Amino acid sequence: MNIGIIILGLYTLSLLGIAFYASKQDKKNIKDFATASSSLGVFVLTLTFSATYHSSYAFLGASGFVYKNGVGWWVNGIWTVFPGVLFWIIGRRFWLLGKTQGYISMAQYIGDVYQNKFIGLIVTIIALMFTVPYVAMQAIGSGYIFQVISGGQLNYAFGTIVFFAIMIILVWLGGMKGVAITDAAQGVFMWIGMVIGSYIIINKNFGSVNAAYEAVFNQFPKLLTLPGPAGVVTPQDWISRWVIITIGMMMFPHVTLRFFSGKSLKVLKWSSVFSAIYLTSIYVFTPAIGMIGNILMPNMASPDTVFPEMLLKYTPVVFAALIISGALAASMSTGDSQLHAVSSMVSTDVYKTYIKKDASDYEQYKVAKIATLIFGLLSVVVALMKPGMISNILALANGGVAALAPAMIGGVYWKKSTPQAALSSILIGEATMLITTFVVKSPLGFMGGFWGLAVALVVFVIVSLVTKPVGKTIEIIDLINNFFHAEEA
Amino acid sequence: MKLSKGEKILCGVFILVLIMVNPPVINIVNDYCINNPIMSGWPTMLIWLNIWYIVAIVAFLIGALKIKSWKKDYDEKQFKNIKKEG
Repeated sequence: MNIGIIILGLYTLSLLGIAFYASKQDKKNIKDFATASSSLGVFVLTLTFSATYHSSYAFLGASGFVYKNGVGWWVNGIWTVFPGVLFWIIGRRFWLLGKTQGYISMAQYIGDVYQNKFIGLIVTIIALMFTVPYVAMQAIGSGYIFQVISGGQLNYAFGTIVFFAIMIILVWLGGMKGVAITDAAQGVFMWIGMVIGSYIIINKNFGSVNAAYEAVFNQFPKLLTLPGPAGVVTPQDWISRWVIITIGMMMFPHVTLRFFSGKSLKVLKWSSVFSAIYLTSIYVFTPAIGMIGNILMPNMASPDTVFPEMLLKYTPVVFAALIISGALAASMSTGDSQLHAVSSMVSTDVYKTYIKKDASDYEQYKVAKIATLIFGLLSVVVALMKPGMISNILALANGGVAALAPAMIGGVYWKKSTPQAALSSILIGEATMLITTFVVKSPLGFMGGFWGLAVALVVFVIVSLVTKPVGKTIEIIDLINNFFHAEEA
Repeated sequence: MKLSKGEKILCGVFILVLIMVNPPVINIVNDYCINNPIMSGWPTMLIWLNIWYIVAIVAFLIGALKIKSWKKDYDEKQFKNIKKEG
């Protein structure tokens, strides 16, 4: 049997072991399933946020993008540093509301802060619509990785189904706690895989990172400047990319659930700082890897696999298989968190809110588990249909949730925020995003998601200024400000 | 909401970082990089970007250590008092 498959099997078994361990602490209620009863410590919260934030893109898409477009890829640094900052600046406000108001989802929060359940429903529908294809994207990544690691012995469909089955089991067994602990383990694996694996390839072929860059300079100088050889990284592309991803990612339910999951504010703060460090440091050698790919493996049809293919070619097979398991870690840690978030939302924001208002915690917990199964299967079906390019799915999904940001953030910062403004900004923002993505594509060179967010923000401000806020919005913002800024006032 | 001096400084640093790593500043840096793509063996553009990202991370780290309101932790009893006053 292929050594890669054996290592992958062992890796999977160890993950299942961790999830089984977490399941032993399961309290069998929805709060524990959704937010681990706000019990996560710094180490686990840092890594579950970071590993969830960075998906299969980290291992595959990043070096693939550098391969094609060069140094302009590192605009991504903005969305590796600032999400950590936002996780603290915005996240602590939601964390406090989780403690004081009992929210465990953003739909609960937005429905309550604007005293309008319909807004909560709209947020739930939009979050579900854009998260499910994103879950499928992780399965697509897993399928490709499985194909590479088995040397083509096992096909894409098999890989997709097997790894989705594992993700479903991880969520089913342990809920947030299980997902977070396995994420932490996968986060460590992912960091070692990307940093050490990259360094070995560079060192083996060029002797040092400097020598690698010198070689790139001699053969492909356009990779070292903007807009790159294909002219992709224009100023508009640069701005769109970081704005959409930084803001959009913070609105995804698998990220927002983590606002509520920290044990304390201290834990949330240090997890935010360490996340910024983790997420930025993991890419230390990625630019070099992507660029030297043009020298070591020129004219690749699918540059997204340049890193795993170089690992298999230039490092011992056991090591390569271990490191490529890190790629699966990246896919799975995001996929299982998304699956978990979607099922938690269905239970709290649909079942409890609209179907059975007196549902007990245990009933909601059971519904969340069933939803895990249904959405898991749905995502496998979508993944097997191979919908479009991974990067297109990512841009569409991020753009879709980014338009929620003004209404979401306004409700914890700006006392003039009104329900009418929240609803109109979400609906008009989403419509704008769809029109500028599919009909009038990228006006003035800015991506559709950027336009969706910009229009949503303008609409939110204007409508807020001409309508009246509800008492609850003011009450919640006062509560937050009194808590965090009482001494400065 | 009134920000403390430390928070204002930090906001200033983050805004400065965003200015330095975005157009039009990044276009000026890119013009320099076209003539000097490599500096000390590393891509000049990469060095520029990393300097500012590190500035942001270090500022965030200092903020986490120094800013008083960031050290506040949740206390059920204290919160009830604040709520009553509010």
